[in-house]
Amino acid sequence: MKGLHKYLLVTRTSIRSNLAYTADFIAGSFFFVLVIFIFMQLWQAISISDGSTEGYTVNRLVWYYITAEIVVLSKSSVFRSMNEEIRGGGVAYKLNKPYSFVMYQLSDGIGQIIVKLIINAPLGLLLGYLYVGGLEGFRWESLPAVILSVVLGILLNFFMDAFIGMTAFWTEDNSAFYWIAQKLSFIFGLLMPLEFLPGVIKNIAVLLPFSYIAYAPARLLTSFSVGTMLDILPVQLFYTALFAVLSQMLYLSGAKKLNINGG
Amino acid sequence: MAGCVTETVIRTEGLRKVFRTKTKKEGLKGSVRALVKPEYREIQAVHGIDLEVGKGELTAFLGPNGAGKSTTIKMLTGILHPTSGEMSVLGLDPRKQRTALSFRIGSVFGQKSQLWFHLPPTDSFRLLGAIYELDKAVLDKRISEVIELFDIKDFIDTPVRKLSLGQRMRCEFAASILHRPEIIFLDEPTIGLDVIVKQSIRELISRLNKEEKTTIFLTSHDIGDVEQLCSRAVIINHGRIVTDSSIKELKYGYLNRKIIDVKYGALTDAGRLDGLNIVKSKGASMKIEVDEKKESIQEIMVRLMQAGNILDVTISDIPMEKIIGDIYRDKGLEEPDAGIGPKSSQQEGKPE
Repeated sequence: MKGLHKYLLVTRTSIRSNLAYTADFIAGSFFFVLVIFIFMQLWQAISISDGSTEGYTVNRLVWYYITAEIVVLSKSSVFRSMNEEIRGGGVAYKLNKPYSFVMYQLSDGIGQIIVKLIINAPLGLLLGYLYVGGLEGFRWESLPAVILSVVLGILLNFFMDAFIGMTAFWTEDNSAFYWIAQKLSFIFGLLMPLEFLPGVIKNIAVLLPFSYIAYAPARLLTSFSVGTMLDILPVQLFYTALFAVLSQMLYLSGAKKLNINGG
Repeated sequence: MAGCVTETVIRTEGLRKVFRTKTKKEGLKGSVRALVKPEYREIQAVHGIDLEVGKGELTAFLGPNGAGKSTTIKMLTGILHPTSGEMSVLGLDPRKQRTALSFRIGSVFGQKSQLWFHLPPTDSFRLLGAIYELDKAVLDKRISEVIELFDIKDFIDTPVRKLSLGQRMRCEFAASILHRPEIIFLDEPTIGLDVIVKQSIRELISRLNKEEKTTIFLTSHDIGDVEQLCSRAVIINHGRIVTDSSIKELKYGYLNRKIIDVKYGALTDAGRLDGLNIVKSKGASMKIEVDEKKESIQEIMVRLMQAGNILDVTISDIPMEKIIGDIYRDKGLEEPDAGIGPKSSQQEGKPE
């Protein structure tokens, strides 16, 4: 119980600490509203000719995009903080404490994510409702699966960032890896639904983990069926678990290799 | 080894740490070559250290920058893995029993912080209490104790970002001892601090050792830390122990000298300077070494003032490098070449 209590307290402390960044929140909210507005206009222009694109109406596209943005913009800064701590030597304070380093980072990250979700989720829902009204064909029974998918998408995003962040144990500059992963996540899900991609690329994208960050929950919300749910959730769960395990393995290996700077 | 040892709490035998660092020849060709076929060189940061520290001792681990002090302390706390050699801290192997050891030791790393920047220290204390699995009642009592011990009541509820460096350092110390560590490792605790804050931190360390009976292992390149605090000093250079002696011996043999830097506007009576050990002189500025066993600083200052119109004067401790050079000389040893690369910030070949 004490073991779990320490991580809950890390999350609580992280929430309190992140609430100190009021200016960041306001700026982030402006950005969120702006990108949602731009994409809503964009998809409306694209879909206007026949009223739908690849089965997506403007209403569904807007709700797809809002869900995807909520997941992506609610990410933690785990990549940046790991980079700074490993390179700057601050990791020394983290390594000699009685906790799991990865669990500590996760608990801290969840604190950041909760604070961002508190802002982004209501704002996104309000924007969508004001612009296109409620989601067409929305089924309340889909909500638990959608919420689970959003949580898994956020966790997958976290563990992928943590995995890349931990390469700082080996590399002088790992920002290129992070940049590539971000762009792939953007193309495979955030920019547009995978159904809009050419056949071969779509088939490849469905196999990649990047699609299970934003595409998976957004698709599940806008095209819910038991079949879709069974296609998406197990793969999402698999990739989240895989990157969690890989992060822990990379940490254990990196901590042994660490040659940290001193005073 | 000096001092009366009751129970050994830190023991190392032949402790070594070798870093591998990438080398690169100059120019574009060198960069391409390093990319295709990287070359490495090995750097001996710690070169076979044998050490024993007794319970309750306040030991200074001294040396110039890059001597291997921090690398040693990080190996002892389980952060770095040694290349070879044996070590035991409180009977545990820091490599294999890092978590068990972490409940029993504390650490303060120079200018790094373990406090949450945007929150008051009390929030960090609560979190650390949970991390060290202290019961609420025990933690409450302990927080009260450290507040009193380090006199931090006035700013315990102020966000860390608003604290002065001295106040923050007090809180860092308090945070490090909440779980009553048996040993506390202090890595350059006074680095970058001004004279007043340094003095205050030294008092804290001394109190910690006396009142909490904590064994203290302190690295520093500041001789002032040692003179005022420690009973024993281990000096290392290029990863090797140069000397391990009591402070009394060190004071008598090596710490008894001061350096006076004086700058004259007009030197009117140079005869007053006869007999002084002027180690360097340029124009109206000079550097004088004073052996306090033979001469009084006060008398020397009087003579300096009588010699002319002084524009500026500073009195400082003799540099660590000079002390080490003298120890080598007295032992009839040759000072080894530096085997340590430049200081950098991170991994792969970044000693200390």
